[in-house]
Amino acid sequence: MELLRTISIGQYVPRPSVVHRLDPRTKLLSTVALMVVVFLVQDFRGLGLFAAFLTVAIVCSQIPLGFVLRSLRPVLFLLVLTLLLQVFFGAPDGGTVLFRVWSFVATREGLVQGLFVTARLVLLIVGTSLLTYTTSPVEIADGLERLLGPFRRFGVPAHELAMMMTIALRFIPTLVEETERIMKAQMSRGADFQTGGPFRRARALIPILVPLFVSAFRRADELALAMEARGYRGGEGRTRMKQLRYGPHDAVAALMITLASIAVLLPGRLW
Amino acid sequence: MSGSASPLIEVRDVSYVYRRGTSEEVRALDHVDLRVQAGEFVAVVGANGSGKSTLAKLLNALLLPTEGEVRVAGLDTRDPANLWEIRRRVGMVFQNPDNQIVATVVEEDVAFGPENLGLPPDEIARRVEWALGVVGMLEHRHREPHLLSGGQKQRVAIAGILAMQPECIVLDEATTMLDPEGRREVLQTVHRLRHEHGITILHITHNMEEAAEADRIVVLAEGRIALDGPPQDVFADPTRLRALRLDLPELAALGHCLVSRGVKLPSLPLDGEQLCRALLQVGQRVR
Amino acid sequence: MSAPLLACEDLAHTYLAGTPLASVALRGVTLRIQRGEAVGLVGPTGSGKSTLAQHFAGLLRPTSGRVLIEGVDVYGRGVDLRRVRRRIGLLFQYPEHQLFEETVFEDVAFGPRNLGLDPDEVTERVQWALRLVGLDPDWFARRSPFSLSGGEMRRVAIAGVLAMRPEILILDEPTAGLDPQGRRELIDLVRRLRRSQADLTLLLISHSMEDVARLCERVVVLHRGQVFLDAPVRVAFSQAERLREIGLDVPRVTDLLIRLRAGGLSVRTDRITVEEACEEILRALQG
Repeated sequence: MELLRTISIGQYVPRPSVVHRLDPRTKLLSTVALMVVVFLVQDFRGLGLFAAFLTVAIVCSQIPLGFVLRSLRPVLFLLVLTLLLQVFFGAPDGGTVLFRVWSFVATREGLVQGLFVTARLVLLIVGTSLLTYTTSPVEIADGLERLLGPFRRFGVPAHELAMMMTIALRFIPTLVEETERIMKAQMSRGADFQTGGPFRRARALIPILVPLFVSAFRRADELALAMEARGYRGGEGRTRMKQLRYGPHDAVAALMITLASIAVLLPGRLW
Repeated sequence: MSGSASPLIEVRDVSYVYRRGTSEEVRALDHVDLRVQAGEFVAVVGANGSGKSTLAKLLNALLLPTEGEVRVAGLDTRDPANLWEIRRRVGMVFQNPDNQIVATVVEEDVAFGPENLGLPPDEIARRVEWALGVVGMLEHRHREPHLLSGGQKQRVAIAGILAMQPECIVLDEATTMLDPEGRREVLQTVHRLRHEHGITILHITHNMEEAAEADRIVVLAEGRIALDGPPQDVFADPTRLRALRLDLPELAALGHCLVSRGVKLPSLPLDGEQLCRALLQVGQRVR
Repeated sequence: MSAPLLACEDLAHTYLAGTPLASVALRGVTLRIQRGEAVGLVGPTGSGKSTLAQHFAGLLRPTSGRVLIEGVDVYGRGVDLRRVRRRIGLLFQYPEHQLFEETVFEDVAFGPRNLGLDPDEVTERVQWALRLVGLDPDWFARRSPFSLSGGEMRRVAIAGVLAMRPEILILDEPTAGLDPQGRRELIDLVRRLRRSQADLTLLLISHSMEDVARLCERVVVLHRGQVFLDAPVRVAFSQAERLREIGLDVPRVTDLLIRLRAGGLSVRTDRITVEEACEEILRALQG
């Protein structure tokens, strides 16, 4: 329970690396590019190159490789499932049979397909994890706000979204502390959160959820008042102290990512 | 303080009614008149429900009077055109230290106000640094707010107001939820703001010891001003204060007790030094 | 002497032990509290008071050391922790924030129901508790707790704990945020409680030296997770210098007596309330 209190918001791991220092917009756009490229890659050679480039990026970020690979743990089940599905059902038109399990037929084509798809997923997950490891949630919110800025004229509430994100992030540790307090208070009145089946335990959460919600609404009210008192009137005319500035690193990174994408997507014959 | 200089804050025959027209109508303020001059340190005290928080919110147009008018530096709070200027001149620090911090990092929260004013980034950065320095929180500028103590959070809130360069700061029960250490931090900061920066202070509280540190105490009861004067005068009638659901500071209560039993004190004591000296003198005279 | 009702032996607690964020809250606290005692627990913020209270209430597990109820280790073999918890009522700070039921009755009944009492007994307890805190059950029982004033909500929360009829009552800053009248009422309530339940054991955590002076016979001072001082209230408060060392203050009247004594007036310094100090000073001036 105490551990919750100190959850650093997001998975951000501060390091003095080049990747960390990149403008968040660069990293956000690169991640989008990465997602597109991953799905356009045709062959294992492309995937292999991609993995190589990604590894270089990880090394540059000074995040231990083992740490990054750990981000795969929550989806390990999904990866194995995907692989198995492809192995057994990936070649509907028949193919070279490898072995049989009960009435399921494993084909070589299915295996190849399975490995490809799974590798793609792995690269996708590791790539996006790199974003969250090297960019703090606040930076991500700022970056999103700037990127979405030009779309305001089309009705995208960029500022409001970013403000919501920042406030939510700011209050997560506070709300976690409060949950802990409320839990203890109810426990000292004999509340029991451990025993009983799922229904019983869900009901037992009411003494925690109701006060939490009531308090959250009260916080929102008070915070809104405080914001108004400090002159807040939405995003119009607002400036920012922290300025996001593209630097030479960003240009270099953008160039490298463009070149890498081209290399990865080039069909094998041109080599 | 000359009475003829135009007051910074003027509350003229103001009444405020909550839930008007319903069966739960409540008259929180009833024909209140108040003038605060620039540079004053005024404590506004009253029991819970006396209307002091309502009064506070009328000063920066978070609430508009049902009757009467409120003027800040001559500007009428009811005029929408004046809204943002009024809120720049009269800053407010609220009771719950957590529920007024918006950003995930101290210095970004202090920047919130100036950002709303649309100031250039360099100017904002300058003001943030200065404000944090004044409240003594500069070394904490990169910290996350939930790791701070109550007193520290309130000082950050004060810095956030300072960065907007206000003429007056209203502390709406800003010390009520703090421990003694936090309260001392905030009060020291507030005294410094007043003496070194000439900022007018309105301290809404029900803590009489803190009220005793002000130049002037305004006592609210049931939406009306019951007493208005220097601490000496306000603490002169203990029975009256009890009837208003308030208390005397401990030493003033002691002073009253002694005087009622025949000890001659030159004036109502408000601090230990004073009272000690007076009593020692009495002691010597007896000998 | 019979086994103390509540005790801890070399109790230590480290939050997040074993991680880089570990922080030591208690460093080996040994205390014995007898049935019927009223003990004040004071100390600067961060000294471990709330942590200690939570250990006594069975809400935290010691990193090392033992917590004993009537000589039995709370985490020993075969000990039902839930039964232990029932004997202790812990009122957290700002207890009104834990109300959740649709009616006052239901909320106060939460505790007794969790004890497994039958409906008639639950009703009886709820009514008794509501009357004890000064809320008329006929008027309040069916109302929503959220429709009440802050002070009333706090009293409902207190009733909720009292309705469990704990043998040991731990109050964590019960007067936090209350106005002077509210504070007086709460102190009266505690006094009423002790009178109506002669063997009630009370542990009062407070920053207010004046509250501790009025309600407790003994005070334990914590500093940095250790017991700094454990003495009868008068003895403890007359040691102003030692208390100041760790950032605590004594009741203002006690401080005055200490100054007077230093100035040559022969007063006792173990008087802690206004009335006592008044008598003592008069005596010294006349004698």
